[in-house]
Amino acid sequence: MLTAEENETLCRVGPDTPMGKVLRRYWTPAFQLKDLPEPDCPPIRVTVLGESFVAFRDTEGRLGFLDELCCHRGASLALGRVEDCGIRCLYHGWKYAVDGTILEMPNFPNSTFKDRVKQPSYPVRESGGLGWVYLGPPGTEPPFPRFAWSDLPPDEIEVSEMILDCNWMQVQEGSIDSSHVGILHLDTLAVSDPGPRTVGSFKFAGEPWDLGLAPPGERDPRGFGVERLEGKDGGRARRRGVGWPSNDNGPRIEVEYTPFGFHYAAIRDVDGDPGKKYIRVTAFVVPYTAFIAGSTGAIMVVPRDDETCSSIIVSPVPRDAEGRPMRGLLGRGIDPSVWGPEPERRRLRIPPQDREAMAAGRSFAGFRGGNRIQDAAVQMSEGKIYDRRKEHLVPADLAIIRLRRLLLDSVKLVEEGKPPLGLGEGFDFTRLSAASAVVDAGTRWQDLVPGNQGRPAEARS
Amino acid sequence: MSERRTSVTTGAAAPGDGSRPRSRGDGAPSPLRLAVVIDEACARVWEAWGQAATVVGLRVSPAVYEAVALARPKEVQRGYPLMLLGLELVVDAAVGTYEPAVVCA
Repeated sequence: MLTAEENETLCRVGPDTPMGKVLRRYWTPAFQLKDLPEPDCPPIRVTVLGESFVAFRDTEGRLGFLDELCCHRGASLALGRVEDCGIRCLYHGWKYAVDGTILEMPNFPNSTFKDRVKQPSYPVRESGGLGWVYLGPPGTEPPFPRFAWSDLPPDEIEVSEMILDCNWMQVQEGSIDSSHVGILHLDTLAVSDPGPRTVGSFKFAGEPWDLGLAPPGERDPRGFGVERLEGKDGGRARRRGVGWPSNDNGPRIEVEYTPFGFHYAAIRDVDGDPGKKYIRVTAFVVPYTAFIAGSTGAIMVVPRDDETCSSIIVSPVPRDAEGRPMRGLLGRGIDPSVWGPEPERRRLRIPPQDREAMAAGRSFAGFRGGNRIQDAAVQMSEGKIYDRRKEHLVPADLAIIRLRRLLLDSVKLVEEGKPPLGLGEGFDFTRLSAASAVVDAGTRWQDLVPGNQGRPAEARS
Repeated sequence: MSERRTSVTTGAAAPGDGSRPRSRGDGAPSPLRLAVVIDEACARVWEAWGQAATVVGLRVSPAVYEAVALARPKEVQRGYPLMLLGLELVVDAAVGTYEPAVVCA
């Protein structure tokens, strides 16, 4: 629960808002590099943090990130021509370099104007398949965060972006919320780790239903990637690796601040083994990025404006047993009529629920397409900007509670002229990780993620 | 399923009460920060559970109580108890605004 004022502060991201000023103090993943594949390719319009920009790659392959509207008469540079180391406005032909320098003013030649004024431009970096920009005050850029996958070549990294019609905090809170995983995502678990589960009094058979999630050629209706343990545990299949070995939907939550923000553990009982516990550690890098247990990549939630956001997954491309890259996994199972990876299809439409399958107990949530669809459906159902005055948090929401406090504390710090939290100065982000493991009950969860340790986020104000 | 909620770590690196709101420089009171109140309350609930206590309520300052009531007019109209973190609020003038306390059975 938040006050109305806190909710507004948390959700509004424009340049003159408190949170907008905070978010502009971090490097922001703003666009996909594959949308600017080669020198002098068409420019793209980018909406991020409530502002519009144009991104382009010049003749030398350099990226430019400028205010979208030409500083002459305000025509969109996204309509412009990218040529000869610059982008030219169609309206009157003003031409700009990647740093915003005005190269030509055909309707005002021989003027010194272009030597004195620039089109606003912003620092931009290429990393992990994404274009990252710094939109904060010049000279305040923090160190650029390089993650383990940041320097992978383009063919070894996959980026998948889904545009959602709701405020970014609804999606961000979902990305770090562990206690919903064994409930909302039951249909996904039924494919990857089939078997009976319960949600309160509801008994779910847990047979695979959302079969589009299974790899092609492995659409075994009994589940994929599993080891059969008939005779050992009553015929239950267990996914290779950890799977989801728990019916415990009330995990214990433990949170620690870190140099990059915080990480937390969701600790669950293990079915039939009181000497063990199932630990999922999620790491949150302020303000956009979560490293989710069981994933090798990360999920980033970036506000486009107050009422839409991009949910971006970055993941190293896995390889099959023969070493061949397995691309396209991030969109697997999603109906192409509701979403696609191409720019014009990235805005998600929530598919209809299969109420018949729900009623028959074959599906829990009724949404095909896996976790991303299930998450988006509930997050968008909260409305464009959720009114958090009305909610009833419970102690299992501790990570969400901590996320809000950390961001609101950063607002206060920036208002006081101080840097926000979690910039990670001097921290080696390449060591950062999440974890998913079944361990002896006495094991410290922090030992599963040793690279996350370091000098914590400083006390605030 | 075994009994859970046996321990809590709110962060060895937690920044303590450094962020607790202070008055503004102009003498006006700072707006209430429910985000801080709830974070502090949640930490206390987990701590109590870690000591095997049964938590049945939260004692909060009048300012917090009023803020929650203001935010939830429908619940007040219907005569529901005011709750935070699933626990009934007990107004207590002796409790600091950012120092909620658990009520244990």
